[in-house]
Amino acid sequence: MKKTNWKKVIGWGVAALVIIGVVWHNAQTTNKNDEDKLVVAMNVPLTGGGASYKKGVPNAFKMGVRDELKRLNLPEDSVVFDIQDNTTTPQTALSVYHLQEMRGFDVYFIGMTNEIVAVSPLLNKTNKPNFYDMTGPETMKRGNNQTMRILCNMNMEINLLKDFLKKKKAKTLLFFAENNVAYHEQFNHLIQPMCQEMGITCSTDFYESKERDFHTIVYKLKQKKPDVIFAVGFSGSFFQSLMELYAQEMVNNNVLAPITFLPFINEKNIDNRVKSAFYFTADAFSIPGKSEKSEQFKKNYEKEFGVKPIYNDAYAYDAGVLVARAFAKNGKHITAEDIIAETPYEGASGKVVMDPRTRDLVSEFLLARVNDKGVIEEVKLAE
Amino acid sequence: MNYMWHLMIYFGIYGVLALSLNILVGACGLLTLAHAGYFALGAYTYAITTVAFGVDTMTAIGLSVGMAALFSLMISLPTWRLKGDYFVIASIAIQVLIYSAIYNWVESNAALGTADNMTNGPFGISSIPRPNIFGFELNSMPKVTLITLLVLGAVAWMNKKLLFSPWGRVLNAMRDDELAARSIGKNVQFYKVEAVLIACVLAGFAGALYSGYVSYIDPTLATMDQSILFLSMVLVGGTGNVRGPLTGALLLLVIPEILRMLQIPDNIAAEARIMLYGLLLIVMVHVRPKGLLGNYKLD
Repeated sequence: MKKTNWKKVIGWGVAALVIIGVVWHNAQTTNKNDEDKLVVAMNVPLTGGGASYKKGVPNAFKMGVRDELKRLNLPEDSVVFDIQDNTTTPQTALSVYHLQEMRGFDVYFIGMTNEIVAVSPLLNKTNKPNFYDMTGPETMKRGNNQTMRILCNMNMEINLLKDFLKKKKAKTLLFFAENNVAYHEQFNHLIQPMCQEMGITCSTDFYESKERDFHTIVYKLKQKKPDVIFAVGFSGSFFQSLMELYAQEMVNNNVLAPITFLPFINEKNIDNRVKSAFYFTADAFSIPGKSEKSEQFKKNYEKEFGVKPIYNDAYAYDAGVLVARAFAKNGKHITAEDIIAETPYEGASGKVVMDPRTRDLVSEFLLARVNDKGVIEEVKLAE
Repeated sequence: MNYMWHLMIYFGIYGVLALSLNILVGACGLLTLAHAGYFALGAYTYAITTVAFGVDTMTAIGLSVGMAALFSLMISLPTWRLKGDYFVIASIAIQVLIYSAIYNWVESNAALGTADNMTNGPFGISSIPRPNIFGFELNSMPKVTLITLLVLGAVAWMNKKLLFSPWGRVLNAMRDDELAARSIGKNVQFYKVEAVLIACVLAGFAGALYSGYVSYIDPTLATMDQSILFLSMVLVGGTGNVRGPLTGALLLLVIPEILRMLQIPDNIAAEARIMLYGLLLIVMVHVRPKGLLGNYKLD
């Protein structure tokens, strides 16, 4: 039998210890000298599935904090950030949380749904103010009294859908959605109860996010002949599903889409006739000229980062402003109540209020449509 | 300090996974991309049995291992006579099958663990209890770390004993020249079934450990990305021995964490880290095709 080479074993042991030591040392020292500063830790998707909609969020949040500190004549570096990519996976989000917990934080910011579920039991123990960046109504129950939510929430969209169904005198509704946790939550907790309450027959069809060929799927849906379709999803697959609904003549003033429809309008190779066929929900930020502050934010953001902001960024900006205001009044040890006390306020996403029931940072939601020139307009449906 | 415990626990779990994959990749020369599926199978079995049926955690671990053993036949039987590219394709098919089942076996109005809603689909399963090992409750990070590293040590010892036993040498013979192995009377198909069974059982066991530690699982555990990560651990570290996969697991766990600590501007940090990580892997594979500490170069 081969003898154990103890020199090698010790060598590898020492190497492992050195690696652990380097990680330990770096993790410990990164946030030093921040004792008097407000530390905002962000555990967000910057790569992976959630990044397409969320990438601008940290930039916008930082910008909101910085602008407000400047306005209040406070030094820009009185708030420091620890921004980490969770790659849209719960296992990485958990590693990121442990690192940030070790470094210390005063305000926490986390997205998206599954990552929140993985981290929330640990985050709740800290009792520090925290923001959830996601849309699902059920996930909010994971938090505690320090939890708040940024992002236009589905409760607002449901009110518009309810009104839409009434005005269209609908008897049947088809919920045509991407197969993801947020939309399952939306259906289970908001749409299904609403349909029962209104006596509407509700059916669903969920498609995979990688789906691109919707010909057969939509052909099958056509046989259901729904009065109203609520089509929801994100980017590529969502856009293709809308195009196919239009191509198979299922869009006849009866399709409503959520706010995630907005990037569809920026697609240059899609004709305005297609874009204008759909109704969608939008906030004041997304309707040109609706809010002066929104317009100002769009200009400043584009100037600084070279890209146009989307509604997510506006909500993150507003959350940043509120945190900076709460910090200016209360110092480093702020609470969710201190942040909520700064609302209502007129921000980048419109008039921002904190819904005391759901603890959502929300602005006004409107029904909208694109006109012949490709410009978004608010729409009022007749009775 | 929790961060360091957490990394050590992840190392323990990924180490077990890498060692289990080493049996197939290193000893048998069978490249499989279904390993994340078996990891998830173990994790989901543990979660469903404890959360939905209230089974005690030790029994749940046993069931996870049993389920992984049973489902290992999904690879070994259809690939009875397959090797090389055909085996890889079959393993991809199994991976997709397990992932799709986990992601879609959901019905919103049905309770977890029922025939209509076995996995909770994209919601995942939360509030999974930590294991209680014969009365030793894993209710703190140091305790979980201790047990996980002890398990890793035991698996590493077992792996070494197996790989360098007559049984392991048959696997190596099968890997290098299957016809020659057959000509001396070895039933290579049977050895392959055994090797797949042991590898899947260990992956299922690692899944149960993960599930109990994190307390929340979702279908991202069973993605192809995860399978590629596990395979990278073995290929970067090196195959055919014990130290290679362990080194690979340690490196692929620690490098992204070290990259987090570099002072890169926030707006490019995420992409820069991924690029650096990719570059490091390419350099490693280019400089050391056998892996850092490997005995065998996979063709």
